Amino acid sequence: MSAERYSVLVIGSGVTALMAAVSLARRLPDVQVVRLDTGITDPVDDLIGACRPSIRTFHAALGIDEADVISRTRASYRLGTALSGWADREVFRGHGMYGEPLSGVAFHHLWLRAAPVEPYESFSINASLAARGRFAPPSSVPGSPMAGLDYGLQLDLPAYGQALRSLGRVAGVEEVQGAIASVQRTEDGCGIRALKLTDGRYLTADLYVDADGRGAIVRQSLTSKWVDWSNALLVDRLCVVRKEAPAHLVQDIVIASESGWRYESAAAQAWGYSSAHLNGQNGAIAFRQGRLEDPWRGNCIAIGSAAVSLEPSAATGLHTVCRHIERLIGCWPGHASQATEAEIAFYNRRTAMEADRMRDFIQLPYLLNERPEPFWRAAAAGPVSAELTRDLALFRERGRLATHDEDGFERDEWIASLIGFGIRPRHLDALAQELPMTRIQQRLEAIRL
Amino acid sequence: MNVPRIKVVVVGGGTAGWMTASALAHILPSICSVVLVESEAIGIVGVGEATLPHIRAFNERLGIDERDFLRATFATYKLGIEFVDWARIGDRYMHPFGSSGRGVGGVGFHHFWNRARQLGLDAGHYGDYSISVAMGRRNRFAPPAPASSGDGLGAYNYAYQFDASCFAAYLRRIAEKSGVSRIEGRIVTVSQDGTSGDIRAVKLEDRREVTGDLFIDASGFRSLLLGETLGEPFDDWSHWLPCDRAVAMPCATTGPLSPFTSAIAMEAGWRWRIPLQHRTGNGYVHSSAFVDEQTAMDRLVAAVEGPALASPRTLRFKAGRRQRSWVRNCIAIGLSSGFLEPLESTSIYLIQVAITALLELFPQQAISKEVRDEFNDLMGVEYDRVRDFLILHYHATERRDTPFWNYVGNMPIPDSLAEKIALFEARGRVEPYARGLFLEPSWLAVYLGQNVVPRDYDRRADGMPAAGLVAALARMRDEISVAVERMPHHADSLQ
Repeated sequence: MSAERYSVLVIGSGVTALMAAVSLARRLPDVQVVRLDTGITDPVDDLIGACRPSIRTFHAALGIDEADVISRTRASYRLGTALSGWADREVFRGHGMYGEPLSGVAFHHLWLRAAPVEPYESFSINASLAARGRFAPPSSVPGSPMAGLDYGLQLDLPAYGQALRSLGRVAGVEEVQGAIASVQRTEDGCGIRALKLTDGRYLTADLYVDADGRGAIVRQSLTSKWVDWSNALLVDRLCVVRKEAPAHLVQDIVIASESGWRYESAAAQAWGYSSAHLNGQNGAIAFRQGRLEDPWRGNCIAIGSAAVSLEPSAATGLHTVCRHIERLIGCWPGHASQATEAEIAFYNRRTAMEADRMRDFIQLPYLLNERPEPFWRAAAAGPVSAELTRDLALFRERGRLATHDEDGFERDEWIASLIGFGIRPRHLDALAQELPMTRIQQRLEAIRL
Repeated sequence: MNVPRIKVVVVGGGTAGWMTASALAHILPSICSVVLVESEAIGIVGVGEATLPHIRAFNERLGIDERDFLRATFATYKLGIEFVDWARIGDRYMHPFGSSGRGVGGVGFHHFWNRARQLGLDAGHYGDYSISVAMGRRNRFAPPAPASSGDGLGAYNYAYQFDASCFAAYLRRIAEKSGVSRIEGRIVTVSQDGTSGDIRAVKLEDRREVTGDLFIDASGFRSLLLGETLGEPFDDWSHWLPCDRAVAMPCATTGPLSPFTSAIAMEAGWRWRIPLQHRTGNGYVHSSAFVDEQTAMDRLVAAVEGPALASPRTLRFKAGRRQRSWVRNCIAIGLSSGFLEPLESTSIYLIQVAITALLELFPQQAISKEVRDEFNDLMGVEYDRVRDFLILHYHATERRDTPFWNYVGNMPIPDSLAEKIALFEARGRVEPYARGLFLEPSWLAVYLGQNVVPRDYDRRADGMPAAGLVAALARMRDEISVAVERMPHHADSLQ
């Protein structure tokens, strides 16, 4: 290894590792990237390819052409997630905007003031297209209803992984095949000194990026504390099947069943359930939801599901990967200088804030569900974070969504969840009440779809 | 609307009182009625003569015509604040309302600037890449092009410097036109509801009683309702911000009209210089533990540039804030809820964010805990973040030439600030906020202006070849220079 270049070892065989390796090699100058292909893939990560709009930012940063991704990897467009059977009506959580504000008053306040009117979803271009199974690219013309559209992608992960791998080779990612026999720590125990492979070889690097999914033995060889969310998010078993022929679905659908849900996307099908409420099913993967307290420790950082493990009902898997990679690049220690304690603390703090917010976002529909079965009642009664408790109380009271410093979701998406599940604030917004009803109605008329 | 309107009583007729009264009456006319109680016998503090760009949104919301406002308040344009002698005697930098330079591919400009420095290239000062700084240096002003937004080199923002008592009078006219009734009188007692503890009425010297549903405490430092009546505890921050006095004195303007406020470090604090159309405001903010009042006055008198237009007067204060701003049916806005010295012109901004939050959370029936908590949380974040930013100015100094500078340079600082500084010093990162004032460009201006330069930079900046970097830096400086040369002088832009 040359003394000049900063070396990084990315551990993993799945899409997370491939995404990380190619990003680091392509976006950072003077970095030598080696990927250890362990041959083990995480069964959850590598079959569910639902991506939020962050995947497009990820592609743009790498200079990857989206049309190219779509044609080469059988990807399709994704407008949002529909939750079916959770309440007495379907709830759609779309990307993009739900109507523009008027005189600084957020759209949902206008909608609440004008009630009763058409359902909230009627004012989302994403929801309207998803209901018709259609897609069109967003418009750049301001004021056009299509201007508020936003989308993610539905990736066929095996094909996508192949494409990333070729791209990585071109970008200079060196691949090593091998299985880890042992992890050697530095003398103080706070860092990794080398990985010993089963064939006797040693691998060393300045920084170790553990992208090996929920197993993540490299990062776990250092002290790590797991923050467990299994009391709040009860689903702990998954069966995932890849669809050989992708369906024409522009949304994910999560259909509630007795002790969990069935998940349908263009590229995969899955069943998630709680093992406490349903006996074991053949082929089910056990997993636990939660996060590492400090994903970055010393010279080793866990990204993706090695750091944050969540069920796939809100398409947070690859979203998390994109955000972790972006944050890692933003905090890149680079060159000769090591990351300082303050930088590592910053990375860990922001990653934790973001993950906790994701947990809250996923838990929200469980808390608001209207089903009678024991699983659903237990899910509704689960422990709720202080932040979500406060946010819910404030929304119920005033229809106001509090702002958080690190939030991986759009405000409109939170509001669509809250309103979709039938929360109607006790008090109308005073500013909305001051607006003449005719102006509100004109605004609704202009964007009704 | 047949629902009775909420009766709001604003206590105090300074900047905070009239801003709140005019905004409520103008924006929520069918929801609330507003009464303002003030006494001509009580002067207004009005140190908040320099503002932040947010004030323009406030004025716009009230339908204020800029030209008319400029005339009525003797206002000038403000592009930022110039800091003199802070990190070292002889230093000078500006914290502009806008960013510096142009980054590439999501990597901030300051990383390229730092790399150029480390390569030993002549990168100049960080402020050399800010159009606002260049305008300030040459006393130019032109309003930014309407489309200029984002982080382009030509993007900047501006605020005003104005006569605060004229501003209060100006808002009073708007407020009265919008139906605010003004009651002249001195409040002698405040009565509370026996069971709920809510404020029921304020009683005046002449025995009149003013009742209301919602009370705005805009009584200034006295904090008549929130502090004196409701007894909300005050968190004292004077160990971090030891300045507790200001002596203020206006003088005639000499020399060209500058489009910025100045904050000049002094032996035991700092001195403001605020150019208005008709005079220059001056004041020496100091710590009584380190300098006596007479000496402070003498120093101020000796330092001002033109003939004095009044004799110096003293203001007393203490840095800190009430733990909550909204308690029961009382909302404290302005100095009654907290005080932070005017170093970064935040007083009027803090009034404005409280008004905005109140409008968004305006209670039409019983006041709920959720609404109060949200308001207090929002204001708490604002005050804490401004506080940290102010402390940075004092703490990031090499000065040890007086006991005051020795104290602030060595004092323990809040953990929240220590973390930010440590993060920045490593590789120039600024923690992003979704709430609160002072975003990355502001922190960068002060850090780099006060010689807190990161040891390393974002290594993506290495992607640009050194020769390209030199050319890019030179191009940016030229671009700014050409753009500024075409702009009118500040004084002419006010005609």
